[in-house]
Amino acid sequence: MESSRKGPRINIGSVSLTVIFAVLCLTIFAVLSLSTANAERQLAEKTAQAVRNYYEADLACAERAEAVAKILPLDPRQQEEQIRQLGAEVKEDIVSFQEKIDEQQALFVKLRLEEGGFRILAWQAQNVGEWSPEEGIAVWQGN
Amino acid sequence: MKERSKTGLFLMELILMVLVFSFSAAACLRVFAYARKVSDYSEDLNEAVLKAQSAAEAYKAAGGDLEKACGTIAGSADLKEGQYRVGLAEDASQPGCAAISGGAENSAVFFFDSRWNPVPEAEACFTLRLEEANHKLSIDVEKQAAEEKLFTLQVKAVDHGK
Repeated sequence: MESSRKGPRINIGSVSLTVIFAVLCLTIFAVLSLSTANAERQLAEKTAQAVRNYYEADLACAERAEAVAKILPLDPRQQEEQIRQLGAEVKEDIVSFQEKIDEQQALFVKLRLEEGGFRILAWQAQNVGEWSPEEGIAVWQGN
Repeated sequence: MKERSKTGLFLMELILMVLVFSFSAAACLRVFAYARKVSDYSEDLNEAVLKAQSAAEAYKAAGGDLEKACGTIAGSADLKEGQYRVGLAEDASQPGCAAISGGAENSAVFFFDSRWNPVPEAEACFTLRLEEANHKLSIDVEKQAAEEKLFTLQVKAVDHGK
């Protein structure tokens, strides 16, 4: 009679505790595996983008080098002018130019003009990002 | 009467907890399956980038000679006949290059299984497709079943003008 007055009750016993623990574990592992998978995907996409950016810059540099090769048969004055029009710098027989890879890197190319062609002196990715050195070490001074 | 009520409560708790567990397990399994899918995609993308990059470097090292580049790729991966297909405009005399078989001119296709091991065309899950036009090589890595492009690159070998 007394129990019917209080209405139906749910017992919280060992079964409930075990299930709550199991569900909690499952949820934690599911969230952890999802966050790991997402981090992996972000890293893979970043890597792919970095490689894509590098090869885009590489292609642009190869095309510019090819354009330089086409200019070579011209007489020296015309040659220099046309090479400058390509956005390259000319210093004696050295032609150099750069292509942006991303905000932090650029592909630098240096060519030496030779009879009938050129020799590649440098074809390398270099850092062009700003570097701000740490001025001091944040240590406790005892005050 | 008291005994029956206790048993009933225990049974009710058990049923309720089984329900709770099955709902949460179903939800968690979906999350696990999605995480697995994302993880597989990342693994495939990483492999696709590596394959495309090594093909691009082989082409550049070969000075824009696709036949030579295919020989290098096939040699380094220890590919057997049938595991890739090369279609070259000129005579495919490079050792290790398979005969022209239905490939477009100046193109090559390499076949890989789901674990990225070289396999014959019929068992392929991924393909590495190289197509050369105007001294420029387009590299596509595709998932066969979904016809999904995983990664694409374009590369050009430097012409020294000599």
